[in-house]
Amino acid sequence: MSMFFGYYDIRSFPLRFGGGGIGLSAYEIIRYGPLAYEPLHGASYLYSVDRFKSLLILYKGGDDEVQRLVNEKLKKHLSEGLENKKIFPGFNAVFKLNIEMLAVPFESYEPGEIFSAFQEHCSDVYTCFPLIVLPRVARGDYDSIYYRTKATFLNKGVASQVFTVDLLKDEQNYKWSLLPTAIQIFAKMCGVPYTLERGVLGEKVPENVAVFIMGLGISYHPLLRRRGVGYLVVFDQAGAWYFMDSTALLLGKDENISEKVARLLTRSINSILSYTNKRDSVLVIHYSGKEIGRAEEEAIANAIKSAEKELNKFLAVYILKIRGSDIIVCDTQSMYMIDKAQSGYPPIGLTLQLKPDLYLMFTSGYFETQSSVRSSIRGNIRRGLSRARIISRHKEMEPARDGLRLSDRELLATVFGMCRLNYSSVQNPVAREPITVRYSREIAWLSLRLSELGTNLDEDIRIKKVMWFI
Amino acid sequence: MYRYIINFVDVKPDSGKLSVFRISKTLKDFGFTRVTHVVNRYSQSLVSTPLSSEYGGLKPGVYVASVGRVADKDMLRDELKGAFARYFEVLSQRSLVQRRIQSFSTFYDVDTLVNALVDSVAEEAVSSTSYVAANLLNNLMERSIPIQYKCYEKDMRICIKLDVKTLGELMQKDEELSREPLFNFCRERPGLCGEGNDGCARFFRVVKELHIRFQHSVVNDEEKIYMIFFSRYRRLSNLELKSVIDFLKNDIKLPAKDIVNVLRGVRVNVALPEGSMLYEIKDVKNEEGSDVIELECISKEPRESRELRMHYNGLDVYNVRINPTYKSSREFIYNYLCKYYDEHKKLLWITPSAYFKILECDLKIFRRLLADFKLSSILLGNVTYTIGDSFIMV
Repeated sequence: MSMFFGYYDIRSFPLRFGGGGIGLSAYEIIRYGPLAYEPLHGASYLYSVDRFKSLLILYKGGDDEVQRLVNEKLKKHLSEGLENKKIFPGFNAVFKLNIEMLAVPFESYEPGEIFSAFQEHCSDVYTCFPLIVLPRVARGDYDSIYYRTKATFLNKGVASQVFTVDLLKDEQNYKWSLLPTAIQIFAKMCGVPYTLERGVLGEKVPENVAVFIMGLGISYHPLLRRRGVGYLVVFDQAGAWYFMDSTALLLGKDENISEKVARLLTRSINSILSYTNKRDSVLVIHYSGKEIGRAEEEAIANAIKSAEKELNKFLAVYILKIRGSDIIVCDTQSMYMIDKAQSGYPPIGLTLQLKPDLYLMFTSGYFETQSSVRSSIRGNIRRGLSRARIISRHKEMEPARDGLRLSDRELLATVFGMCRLNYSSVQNPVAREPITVRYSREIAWLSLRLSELGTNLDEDIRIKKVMWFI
Repeated sequence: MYRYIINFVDVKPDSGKLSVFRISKTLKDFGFTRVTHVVNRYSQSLVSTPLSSEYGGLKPGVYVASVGRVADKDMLRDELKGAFARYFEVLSQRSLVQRRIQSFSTFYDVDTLVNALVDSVAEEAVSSTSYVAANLLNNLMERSIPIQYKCYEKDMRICIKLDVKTLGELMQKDEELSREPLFNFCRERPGLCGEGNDGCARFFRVVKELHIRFQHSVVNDEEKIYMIFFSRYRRLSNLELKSVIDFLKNDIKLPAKDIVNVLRGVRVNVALPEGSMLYEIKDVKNEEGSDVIELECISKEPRESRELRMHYNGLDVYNVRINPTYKSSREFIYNYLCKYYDEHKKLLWITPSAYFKILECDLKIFRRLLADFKLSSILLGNVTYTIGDSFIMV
């Protein structure tokens, strides 16, 4: 008896760039350019890169070193690229744009002041993109200048990108951070840097059937223990973005959180279906079980049950729960050597089966870029443990529809495929978690901050169509 | 053919069928979860697990197995009566839930309650490698670990902590000692392993943790139980604010006026009747010869009362402890208590090949511990389970 289930090989999940270019590495964007300048779904001028005239690099004035680094490094390199154009040829060169780069000082690390400086230099804030230079802070600090500033901009409908002062000063990592930063900026401008070359379900889904892959979760407020947020993100089966939505929750006995999550789900399903003219649609829900307790997990399950009437509009609905684990493997034949020693890291995409509906997928390890050539072995981890993601299919939560029977192998491909779309780390071809559940904290924390700033997340606001959380 | 070592260990039963009792009835206030809790916490020789809905051919209910002997229905009744009597006794001593318990006790006489439960009992023989068997093993193991070894980890049912001294005692060969990186770590950072009297030794202790979970598996229609076995290093903290202030005053000899400056902004957990709350230190004042600490709550809504003042002696009452999750607290710890408090994280900056060499030793240690706990073979109902001595290959 063996638990071995199979491999998901990154070579079967290539990326699609502009001009029909296809490649395994996100770096190919330098060669081919981006896939699209507006969302592949629900495009309009409001959500198009074309509306951007300038990129404003906002930094704190009064510090000569930061001012010098911003002007002589960041602004220069974003405009003209690095000397080694293969690493980064410049923002406009990568994306074939003509956006003006400006460096704008602000007075202090106060979100309101930073936004004022932005506004002063930009008569229409929807035509400028803010790249904000801030000190590095702990990602787990809800009150940090990072989250407060991002929320202030987002509250005005403006997505932003943060670049840390530490990274600006870091000789080694700085140059490698420019392309990922540029890709994130482009995605936040509503452009599509790249997607998977083809839908993860491929020919298993007939032409006249649309596929939607949804990430769904609940997160707690990091400080106020009775508050939380329910959120979802929606992609197509090639990883192209549709929208996000969220709703503030009052945890405990004061509110029926299942009901609120069910309302969120219902309104999103109606939005989803408005995006397609195809005869039928399939929905795959990736439901994140991390950080939440049993009550919240039950709330998600109940919400899905309550939304059954809406879910019945789909030809089929599949529900996968994705979480971390302490399960590790050592590959006794690992081809990935570290310091000339056998590392034991497994091939990325290795999948084991524990039960008919329960799988272990390894997303950290090594991969081959060419077939059977030892020198082409690369890894996305160099130290630390590669822990399995546990993926469980919850058939008992799936509405009984027998319109399209996808196998677990195909459903697991939706998880692996969404791990390939990692706009924030170009070097890493496979992220530890799929994009559907990866950004839960950013979405939750910024959604919570937005509701604290008075933005009603239940309304149809502009930022829901912008990928601001990456 | 097999090439991957996985941190799973075979768990072998000596019989195909496990005799269990299934309580199928739920009573007011006593659903499956509460009955399970009472059995596992207060019975002498029973262990149980709930199943809320049908799964893998198993019907819903509370599955109960005897431990160390084979039980009949009369023994089950006696054990349950003892367990519920102890449960009510413990609850009645807790003033906070007094009212609720009074309503329990008046509504439920122990004999009536247990008779009602036992009347619904079915004696069944389930597969000894079934889902409920794995959960029974988890619950049995969890309550068999002596309290001094226990640790708590979210999602991990069984957690055993071992300090460097205990680890040394459990290791029998030089080869085992040389594989364990905690010994070198403790030589380099003795304070973090309890040696000396500096800030590291006073407030932190790095230990090894063993995480164990019995996992049910079904592959090609064949059921099996594995033990998932994982180890890691953890820094235990004992950051009582009172001890920290004493340390700043007496060991670092910080003048009183500076203490407020270094503690301002540090975040602490405060145990209040409504639960643990996160506060931020705003001020430390000396009033009539005694320190008064002013705190502001950050886990309450802004409209709620957020200020709290307490005297130095009150810090014990509210069990005020520094919460090291937050940046301000971490900076304080780094600057005044222990520069190396995060160093243990580097112990696992290793590859899977290196990790499994350590884990093999850990498994040997775990088996020795099981022998100490008299669990070398686990007798659950009529079945004896034996835990393997190596990791499986897939």
